[in-house]
Amino acid sequence: MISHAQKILLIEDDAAVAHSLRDGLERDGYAVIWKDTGNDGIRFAREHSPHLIVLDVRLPDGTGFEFCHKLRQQGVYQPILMLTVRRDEMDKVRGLEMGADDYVTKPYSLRELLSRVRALLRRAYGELSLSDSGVLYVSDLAIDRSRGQVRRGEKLIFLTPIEFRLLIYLARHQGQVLTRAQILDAVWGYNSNSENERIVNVHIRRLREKVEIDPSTPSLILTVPGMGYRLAV
Amino acid sequence: MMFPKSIRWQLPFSYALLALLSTLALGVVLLLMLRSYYTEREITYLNNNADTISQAVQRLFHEDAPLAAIQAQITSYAFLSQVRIQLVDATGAMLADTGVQHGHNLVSISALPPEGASAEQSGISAGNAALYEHEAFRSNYTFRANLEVPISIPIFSQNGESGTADYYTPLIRLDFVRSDGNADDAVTDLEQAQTSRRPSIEEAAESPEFTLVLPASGTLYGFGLGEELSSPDARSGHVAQRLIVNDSGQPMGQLLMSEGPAYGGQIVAQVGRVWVFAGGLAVALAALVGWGVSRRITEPLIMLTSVTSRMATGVLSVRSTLQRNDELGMLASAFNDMARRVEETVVTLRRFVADAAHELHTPITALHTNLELATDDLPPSSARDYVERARAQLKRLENLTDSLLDLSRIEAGVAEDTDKPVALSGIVMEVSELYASRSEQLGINFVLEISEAPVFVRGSAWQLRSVLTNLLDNAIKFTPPGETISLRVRSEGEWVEVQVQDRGIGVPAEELPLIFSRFHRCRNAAAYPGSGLGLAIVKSVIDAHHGQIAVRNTAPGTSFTVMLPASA
Repeated sequence: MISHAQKILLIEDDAAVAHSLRDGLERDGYAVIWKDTGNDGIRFAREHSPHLIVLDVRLPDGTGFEFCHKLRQQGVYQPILMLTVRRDEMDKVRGLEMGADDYVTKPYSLRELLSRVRALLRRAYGELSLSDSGVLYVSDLAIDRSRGQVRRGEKLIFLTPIEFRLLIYLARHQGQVLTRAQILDAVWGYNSNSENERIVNVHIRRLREKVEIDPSTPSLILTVPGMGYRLAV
Repeated sequence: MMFPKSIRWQLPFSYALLALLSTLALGVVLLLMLRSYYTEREITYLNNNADTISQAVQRLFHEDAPLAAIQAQITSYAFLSQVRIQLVDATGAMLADTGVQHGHNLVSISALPPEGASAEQSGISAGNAALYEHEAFRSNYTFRANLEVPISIPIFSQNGESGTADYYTPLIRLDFVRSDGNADDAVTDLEQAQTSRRPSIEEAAESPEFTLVLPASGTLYGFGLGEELSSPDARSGHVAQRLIVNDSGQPMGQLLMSEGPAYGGQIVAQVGRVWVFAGGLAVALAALVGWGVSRRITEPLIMLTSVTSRMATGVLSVRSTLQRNDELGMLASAFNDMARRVEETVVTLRRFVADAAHELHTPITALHTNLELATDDLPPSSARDYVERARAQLKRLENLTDSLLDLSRIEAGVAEDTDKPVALSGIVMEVSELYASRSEQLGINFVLEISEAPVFVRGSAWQLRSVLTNLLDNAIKFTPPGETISLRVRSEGEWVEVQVQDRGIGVPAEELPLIFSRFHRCRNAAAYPGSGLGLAIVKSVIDAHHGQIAVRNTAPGTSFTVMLPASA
């Protein structure tokens, strides 16, 4: 378990948010260090090199954007996840410009935040160690082809063989729009007709229910109207 | 009458009108004064001449001069004074009447050939002014100015019949030669002229060569009074009478002087012409000045208007750069003060909305996380159900908070830039992927119709996205599984039309006008989740983008049509 030893620095001034977030992260197996000011957080980050930093935008001694910028200037290159308040374009863009790797908008769901944390950690540390073992990574999912397993963090997700093949096919073409005919051909080996295409829809729906964080509002496997499907980058 | 509404035109018009009125008033007063002044002058002139001439005539009577001499004398007086003189004796018989003086052909200039040369030889006709240019002519010829008076002398025969003898009598004759010629010739007839008792004849003698100076004592004889302005034809209507008396005071006759020169009328007419010209010039100048002044006023006004309009479109940082010390300068600085205040207020308001968002979202976030942790920890039980319900209500509270903040931000956010080109196509694609996925999970068909060519509108991307998500949220919410919802985007000339069609429960006809009001929820929507703010947000975004929205019942279902101005 790679994630067990991983240290997450949480810089958040609101105690209620910090406590619940710390509980949620610790439950997922991370070691959480909480600092309630930006300057304390920077000091800790420089001295102890956490694996990931969760940084709130509003802090008593400055904005998260400023501290993000300072961290990068002072040679802290670990992933930073920003907690923003508004769904403002500006906040997102500013955060990413200042060197943040991703952002979550308050109020977020714990699942969503954990998913982002996992994906960031995997991108930063996971892929290197597992790159040869035939593991595909999509968002916070680890798809182990040799074992036929899909994991979200520590949690195993059970898929049928066809769902597994479908996910692998989508993952290999991440970001690309795949038509139902292409999917049928690659996953089932069928020729396409309207009857067969409905099979794709049904399996996509089932797959979503297993791999999406919130199946009612899919964010991983997206339907491209009139064309097909696309796995979000 | 069409009167231009713009100050740019009104001001020059007013100036010109003002100039016209004052020119008219001044002109009328001036002409009246001139008229009365010259009338007085005419009368004075007539009276002065009457005094002088009556004394002279009275002297002739005393000296028992022959009638012919008196008549000749009167004729020359009449000519010199340009007045009709009538002499009536005590019995009422007309002794002399000079008639109306016209003064035509009284002065003639003749050139005399040098000694020994004949006129035929010279081939030059008298009075030809061009001859003066001829050097040889000038050096050799002598010029003679003849002042001749037509004399009409009544002749009384023995039997009482009367008639007139008409002839011209030379009154003054002046010969001129060049100054290098015989200077004595210039005053050849000076003695004769003096015998005619014209006291001013010396002036003529002293005149420069080639210039004839007629007697100039205007008060007496009128020459020089009107100068070239006086028309020989214009006559005044005034009459002066003088009694001629003998030594013992017995009336011998009467001298009537009338038809004197009417200089006034001539001058008044001339002044009138000049006045019309000057008046026209004044009106034109006034209009020109008015135009200049109106430009000075309207240019800053136009500039202020454009600054104000820009501010109205939401550019709060715009300031007038007008630097003037007058009222317009005060207006500009007042505008700038106002703009500063508005900008401050809006900035404060936006900061407040951001603060409120933070303050509300922070506890909701903590609550959310804690409830999620609790759900995961609890085994399936009634307690877990309660927590799930609490989470659902929390989600509702969260949505309500977001919607309220969005609404206040859109309505307060005049400073937000809603004027940059936004690729609506991109937003539509992005949003429809999410809603197509959601529809698919709910078993609803999602149809997207969008043109190949990208569609652009001017506005704010996140606000336009919120229009689409709110309309599609409703469409999905109210449409049962198995049915279809559609999103159509197309360019309609200068407009972009976005249509969202669902097959849902529809809107009760009587509630159609109310659906965009805040917190309004239709009767038939009570069973569905929602805050009643979604369409209010849609409406305020469309308003902020100068667009239109229409809703239509399409039983079953509802159709929303949004029109947004297209961006080039």
